[in-house]
Amino acid sequence: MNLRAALVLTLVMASLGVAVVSADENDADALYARQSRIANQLDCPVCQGQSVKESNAPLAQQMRAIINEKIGDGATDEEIFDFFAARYGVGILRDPPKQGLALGVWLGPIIAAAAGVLAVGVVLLRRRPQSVSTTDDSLPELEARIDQLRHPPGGERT
Amino acid sequence: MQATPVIDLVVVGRMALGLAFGVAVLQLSMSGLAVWRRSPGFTDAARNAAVVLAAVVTLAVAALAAGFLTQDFSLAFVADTSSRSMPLGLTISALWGGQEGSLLFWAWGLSLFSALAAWRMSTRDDALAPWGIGTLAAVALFFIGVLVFVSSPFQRLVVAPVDGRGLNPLLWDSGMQVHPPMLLTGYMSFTIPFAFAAAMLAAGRISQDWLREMRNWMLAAWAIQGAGLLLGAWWAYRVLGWGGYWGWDPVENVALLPWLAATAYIHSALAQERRGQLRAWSVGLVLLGFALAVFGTFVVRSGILTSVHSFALSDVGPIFLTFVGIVMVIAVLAFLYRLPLLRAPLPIESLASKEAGVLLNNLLLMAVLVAVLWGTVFPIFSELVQGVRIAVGPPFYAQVTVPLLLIMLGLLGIGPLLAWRRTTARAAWRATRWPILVTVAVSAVLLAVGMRAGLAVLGFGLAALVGAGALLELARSVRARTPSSPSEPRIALSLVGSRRRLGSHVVHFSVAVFAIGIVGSASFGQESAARLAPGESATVDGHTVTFRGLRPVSQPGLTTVYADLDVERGDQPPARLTPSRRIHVGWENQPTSDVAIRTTFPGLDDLYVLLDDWEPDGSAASFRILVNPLVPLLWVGGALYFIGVLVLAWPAATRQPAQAPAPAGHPVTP
Repeated sequence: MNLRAALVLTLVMASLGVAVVSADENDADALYARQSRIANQLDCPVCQGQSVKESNAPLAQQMRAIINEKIGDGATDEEIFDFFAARYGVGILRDPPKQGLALGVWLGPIIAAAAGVLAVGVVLLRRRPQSVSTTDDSLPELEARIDQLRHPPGGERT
Repeated sequence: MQATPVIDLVVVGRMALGLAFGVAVLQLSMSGLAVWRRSPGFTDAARNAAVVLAAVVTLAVAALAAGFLTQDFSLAFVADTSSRSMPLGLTISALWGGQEGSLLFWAWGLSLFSALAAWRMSTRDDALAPWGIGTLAAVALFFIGVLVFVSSPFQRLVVAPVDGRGLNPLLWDSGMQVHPPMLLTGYMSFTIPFAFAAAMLAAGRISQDWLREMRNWMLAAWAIQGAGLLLGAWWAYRVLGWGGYWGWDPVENVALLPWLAATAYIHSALAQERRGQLRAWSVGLVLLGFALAVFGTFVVRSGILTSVHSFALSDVGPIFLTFVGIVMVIAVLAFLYRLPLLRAPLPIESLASKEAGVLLNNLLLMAVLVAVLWGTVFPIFSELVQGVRIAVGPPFYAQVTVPLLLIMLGLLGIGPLLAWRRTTARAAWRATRWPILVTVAVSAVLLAVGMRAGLAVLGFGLAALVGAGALLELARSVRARTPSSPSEPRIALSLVGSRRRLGSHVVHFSVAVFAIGIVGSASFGQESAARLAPGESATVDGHTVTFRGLRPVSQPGLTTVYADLDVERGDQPPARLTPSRRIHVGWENQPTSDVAIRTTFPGLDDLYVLLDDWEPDGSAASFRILVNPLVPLLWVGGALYFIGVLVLAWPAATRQPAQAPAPAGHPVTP
């Protein structure tokens, strides 16, 4: 019961988190907001570690102008990203595409997290049978007794 | 201006470093002899060597500092990182403004910490001490070896230039005086707990006393690294001028990694201490923390990951990588070999218990750590595999870490309220009902007043959960210190115990404050760009910004262009903001901006104005104007974090008389 409650709580919170994060921002109406959002997803090719939005390099300024132009022409975000990816390579996209080699960056954490959950699960399950089985009503006395044995009065406790 | 030096600093510095190398070798060999001969005399000799080492490295640092103070540009490092036009405070901080100096600073900090740690080791455990002191010697030997043979801060220029090149303009800031030394000290300090862990693995003996000592040093490393990260965020916000405080830049990421490992350790060590659980895991985290700290130093200094910080290009990269590799292989082998020793005597009984919460906390922290590490190294990996450098930017990190961090917030609200061992559903509900009700109430109110950003409602709600839980626990632990009857076993709680609990609640509360700042600034920030002629205004989120004109100011070596802006917002008194751009002689292609920030109360919005560009005749200027809500809470949260850490890590002044005569906790002064 406790276990189930904890699992349900975790799942609910996880899905809430995912739902929220994947929800679209809704204030991309203004041209500038959209331009800077797109520019922020492109790595400035000539700067180090800055996005096209942050950089003041001439190339980045040109790229911002191109973004504005494309938005004016009615291009979608995807078309703009594709345009720059075709020009400068897929490496320019700060949000790595979920395909090809770049898929690896997404899979890594997922695999690691799954392995972690599995390892913790194995540890918990393997140890479970060893746990002292007592009825709940005798538990307080027993624990008090164990506490006394493990932490004699006066011993440091935290 | 420069007098003929009475003392040749190059000679002094080189001699000091050469001597340091010899002393480190001595410390290592004495430790070896102490292990081999089992003789405490050799242990004492090794300890004394550690103290001498600290003195000698201090001398080398003093020589370099003297070079900066006397503007001795015959020293290549001084000529490279300082110039006559730099103010004194900045000149001192140029000591860590380049690779050689920052490695020297690293080694200096290590030698000081090592001397203290070696002293404490030698008074504690005869069998473990030589291993620990030897490990410290080995790490010191590596760094001093790099300083002597590869990257010496005492290179002489045949012809001393009239003036030095000066620091990169980005570093011309008071933040330079605090952020880099704090972070370098943080990285360095992970060595000490590592030495304690390595000694236990090597000697094959677990000592409760050493585990405690290791925990204290790890707490220190965690606190210092945390302070370094906070100062970095504060600096980035004020100086880098993109309006944010955290950019998932590779150098930021690698500094975060050891801190995450240390955070996981702090919690798992609690389960280890209280219940004997997660012991192997805790030791593993100490090893991991050190490896990540050296990796971080390597990344900052190697330029392998291009980032805004990569003005630190160098040739020490491969050496560092080899060192990390060797340390890791030895550590992992020793760890696996000693694994039976580290097995937990007691199982985790229930998922609804504090120790299960700790386990889950560690799992989440590790997930964040792996994701950040993987994202940071993936560009190199993709370049090696396919020759294409895949960029991994903030969108990746946000998508991966935000859900994890939200779950962690929820867990942080509930976990500390659960009991050790197991909690029945009723007891769990009784313990957590008030924070949960507060959370529901906060979320309902936010929805009712029309907040529609789901992430913000969830984030604020969970922050309320954490904050309410921490306050509740704070109240409880204060009450618990007043015993209701003399025979209450609560009296047995030592002051240390309560203080640590007290500190942890303060730190948890600071996380809540921090979370509100992050969620607020990430969800409700507004940004706009404006090109204004003198007299024209722009309005962003109620703030009216009027451009009054440009004001260039020339100083030797530096031209600063100020833009005068009048700012008004309904109820607030009008104010003047002067964002500026600095153009340094010799760095003309890198104009550096000084952001103007105005915090408005009570909403805690930061109006953040950046001067982008201007017409040479002053007829117009472009600005970026941002409104960053709740960012000041980050600094409040940072201060609270620090207060909490001090409370929980401060050495015990008084001890229970009933207790065995254990040595008092050692000072952890970040």
